[in-house]
Amino acid sequence: MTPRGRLLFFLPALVVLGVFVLVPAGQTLVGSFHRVGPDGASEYVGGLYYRYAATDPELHRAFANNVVYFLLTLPFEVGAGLLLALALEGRGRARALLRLCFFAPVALSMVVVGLVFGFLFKDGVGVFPGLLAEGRALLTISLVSGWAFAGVYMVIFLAGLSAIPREVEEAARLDGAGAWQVAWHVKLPLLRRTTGVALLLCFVGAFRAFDLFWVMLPNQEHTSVVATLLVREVLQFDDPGYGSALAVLLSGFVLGVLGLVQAVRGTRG
Amino acid sequence: MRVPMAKVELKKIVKRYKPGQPPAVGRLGGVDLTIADGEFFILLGPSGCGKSTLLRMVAGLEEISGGELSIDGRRVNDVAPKDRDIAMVFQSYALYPHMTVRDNLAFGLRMRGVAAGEIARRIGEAAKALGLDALMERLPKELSGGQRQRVALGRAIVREPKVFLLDEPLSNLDAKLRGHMRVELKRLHQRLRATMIYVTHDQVEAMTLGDRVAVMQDGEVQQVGTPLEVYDQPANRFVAGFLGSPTMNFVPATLEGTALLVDERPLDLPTRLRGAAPAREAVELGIRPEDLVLATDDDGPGISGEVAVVEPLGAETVVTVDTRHGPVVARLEPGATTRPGARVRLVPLAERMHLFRPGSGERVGPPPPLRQDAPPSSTSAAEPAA
Repeated sequence: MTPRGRLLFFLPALVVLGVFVLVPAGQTLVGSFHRVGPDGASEYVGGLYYRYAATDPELHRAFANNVVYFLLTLPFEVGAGLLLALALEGRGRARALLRLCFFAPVALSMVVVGLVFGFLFKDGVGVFPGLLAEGRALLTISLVSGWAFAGVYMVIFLAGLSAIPREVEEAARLDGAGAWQVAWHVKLPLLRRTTGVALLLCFVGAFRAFDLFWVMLPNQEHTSVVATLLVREVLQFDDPGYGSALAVLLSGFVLGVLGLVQAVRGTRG
Repeated sequence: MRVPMAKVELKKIVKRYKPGQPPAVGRLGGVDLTIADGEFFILLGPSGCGKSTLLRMVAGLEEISGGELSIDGRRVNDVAPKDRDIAMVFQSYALYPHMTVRDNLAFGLRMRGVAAGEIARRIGEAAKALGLDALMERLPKELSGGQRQRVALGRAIVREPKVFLLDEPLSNLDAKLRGHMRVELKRLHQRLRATMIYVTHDQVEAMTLGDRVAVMQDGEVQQVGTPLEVYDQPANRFVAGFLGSPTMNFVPATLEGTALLVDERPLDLPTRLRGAAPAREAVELGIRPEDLVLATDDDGPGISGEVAVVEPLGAETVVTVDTRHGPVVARLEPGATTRPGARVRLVPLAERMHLFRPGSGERVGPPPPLRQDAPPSSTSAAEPAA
């Protein structure tokens, strides 16, 4: 392909990326250094919002919630997905049906999931009231998220498992390993790369968490995560500048961690 | 290293892939085999004949749809693979990619709770015997094909199983290494005297390694015998054509009393074939390339044609003759003087002729005698006279 051909090939994707990602991202970055007054006029304020973020206790609480949410969704999403994959890999109609069942929630909109579970847990009318109270909400939402996303990780791990040669597993069985020993000594080590991908996806998912928190905890200020705090800043407190700063910080953090992981992986070859 | 021995018996073993399917439609239609203690037994056949399936059924990796499998007198149809006391070497080697050679060898022993000291002893012995000492801390991806092959063998040896199952273990090696490993395998068997079942589509491996060979086609055992028996006395046209390189020649002929008409010219029949057919009967004459004599005149009995290709191989000369029945190949003395284009006649040695019924391929009349007494098999030679 000629250089011009290559450019033409990538141009549509570049345009879409530019219009929908790069330009808004740039605007957000610029916006985080400006304050918009009540009259709509924009005023440059330098690093004011960032200095504020460094001391904002609400932001620190929200960030800590993101971290806990990540640690909780690890077992509920990735762990459960791995167990499902190990249990449901292979042929058979029953297994195929169960795989479909566990994957089905993925097709639902998170807003719908949030509304349904939010109603189930609603004080007064819900079947399980009190689960969204302060102190419990984070665990509850993590479980709901596990229910919704374990299917995704199941599919990822199923793909990883299908790449393990059947004969290696058979050799282990002949060597005297039972099902769990095969899983622990052979399959898990050979799923290392797949597990790495799953952990990254889970990490990114936990730090961009928004919809479940927003829908299941309406009008409740406790148990914010950074993304709900950010939206509230923009919509409720009409402060796009601070909202933008939070967006920049969150994206920077996630991208920074991803970059770090890549770098470590690169040095290990 | 002492390995317990075991007899393996297969009685009417059937494999169906759909319930209710008649056995003949399935892959294996009732296989009967008895493999003796310490025997090196070969399952030989073209791909898709069911030999690997049969081996996997012995291993317990494939369900047995019907019949009975016993190892050492114990019925094992429903026994888990790990409890059958067998070890298997896979065509792909199936080494654990994330474990070092040492851990690959130790894994099966650890799973069985063998004491650490004993594991070290067995691994040490196997590593020495297979020349793996310098490779113990390497990962499989850091090994050559031949080294991986040896690790796969070592993994089976350290287990000291009753039965070794080998599924085309040499087919991923290059020709030279394959020849070398063939000798190593034979040595190994002579040393261990273990029962080994070996699947291959390579007739050279079958002939050189096996105490006995079962030739399979379409899920059925066609013949069981020593390598020389299946070579010299094939039960039917399939076995006759499958073994031997270059392959046996087949020429249409007519059996008439004491003579065999080939190209309307009578060939003398050996005594054993006289009266094999009551009256005139169309047959197929099977004759191995080494059992043809070249005559340079064109007016006697035999198969006449024109020399197409002459291949001097040093120890012998292989001549391909175009006849009205297609090419016929003869293996001649190294000094054979002929050249492409010459009109020649190939005369079959009467004593080595095979006759087969066209269509069914079954043998007509008794087989020729064995070329020579079979050399004592590796097992019986190594065993002390009881």
